[in-house]
Amino acid sequence: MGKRNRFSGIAVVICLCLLPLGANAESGLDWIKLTPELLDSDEADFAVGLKFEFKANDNIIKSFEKGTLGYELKGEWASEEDANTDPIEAKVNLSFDCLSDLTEGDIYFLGLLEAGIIADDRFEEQELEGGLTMGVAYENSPTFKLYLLGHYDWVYSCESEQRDQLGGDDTDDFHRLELEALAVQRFVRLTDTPFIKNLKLSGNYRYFSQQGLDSAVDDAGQGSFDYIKVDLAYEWWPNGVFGLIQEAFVAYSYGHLPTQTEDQAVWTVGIVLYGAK
Amino acid sequence: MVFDATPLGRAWSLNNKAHVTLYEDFNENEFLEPTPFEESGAIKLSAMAYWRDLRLGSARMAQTMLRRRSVKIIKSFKDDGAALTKKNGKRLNKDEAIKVLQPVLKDGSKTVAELGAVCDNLFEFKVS
Repeated sequence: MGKRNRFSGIAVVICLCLLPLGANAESGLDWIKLTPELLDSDEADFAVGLKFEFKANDNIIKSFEKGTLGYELKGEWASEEDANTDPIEAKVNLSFDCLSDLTEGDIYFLGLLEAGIIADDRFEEQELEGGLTMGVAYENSPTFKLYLLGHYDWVYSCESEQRDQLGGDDTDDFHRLELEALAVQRFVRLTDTPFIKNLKLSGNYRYFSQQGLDSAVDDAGQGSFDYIKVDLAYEWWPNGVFGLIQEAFVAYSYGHLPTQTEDQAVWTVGIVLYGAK
Repeated sequence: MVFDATPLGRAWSLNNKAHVTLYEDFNENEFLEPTPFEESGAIKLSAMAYWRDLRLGSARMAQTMLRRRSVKIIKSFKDDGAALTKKNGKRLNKDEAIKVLQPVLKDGSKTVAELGAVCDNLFEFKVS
């Protein structure tokens, strides 16, 4: 990770991922996460919060021969102010499949144009974003998977007074390059040893480079920033525990995302619930 | 050859080549333990390896993973000799098939058998 304004906050998050039990796609929610949270920092403050997180399905408004017009809703709410909270987003997506002839093998392309509104308790902004995504994947059955993703886009955002107070301008017009790597290693099929064969280890690294940026993030001396997350999960197959608990996981992440203003180290402990049958 | 009846009956049957093709793909890539055909149809997609990995990266990564999984299913059927079905006298192209498969793959509450039914409608096998 590059040199940047280090944020010393450490958050311990206990997650309970409630996937729509007994529900179906018509519920409109992919999953809901309730997160009792303990937040601590160098200033010795201590906070307990509760996060409510939702992610809606991508909804298709209209399909064209070479593209799709749709929308998505996602977001998170916390009772305590928390830089790690993902903002509430409403976006309209226009995706293009004009390059899909190249998607047959392990290299695939995806054109994506997005416009939407992002809002949270630190700043509000309306963002217009357009870009191209390119990915490479290597998958060796469920045992090992590696995905590399590159995304370049242009972002125009109009911001509210809240962000002005952080030092940003009314508008931003910048380019953003995002590189992401995700590696997943399962021990199932590699060993019959109980416990170990149920483990899944993953690493997710995201690098962001923004140019032409004139915002609070830039004022903090950062034209680029990154984020890393290591996730260790124990998986039950296929019925889980009580027919519901499918995964128990512990994850550590450090860094910050474009929607955040500073680095944070976060420990997350949680379970994923979903009725398997 | 005698086939055992499954709890899902014709909804998930070894007599259906589309179901068998999907089962073979998932048995190799998605089931975390050996799973007999008869039991596999009732399992929800949320238990599949691909679905469980969607939460590990960014939303954009999840989107591209779903797209890639759709393409892999199409390829599996193509390798087994299937062609995309016709609609209004015109055969569907791959992009249209992805748009059918991707929302189903994303919905963890759907079962393998329900995905099998979608594939059954989406692909045609040549009669030998």
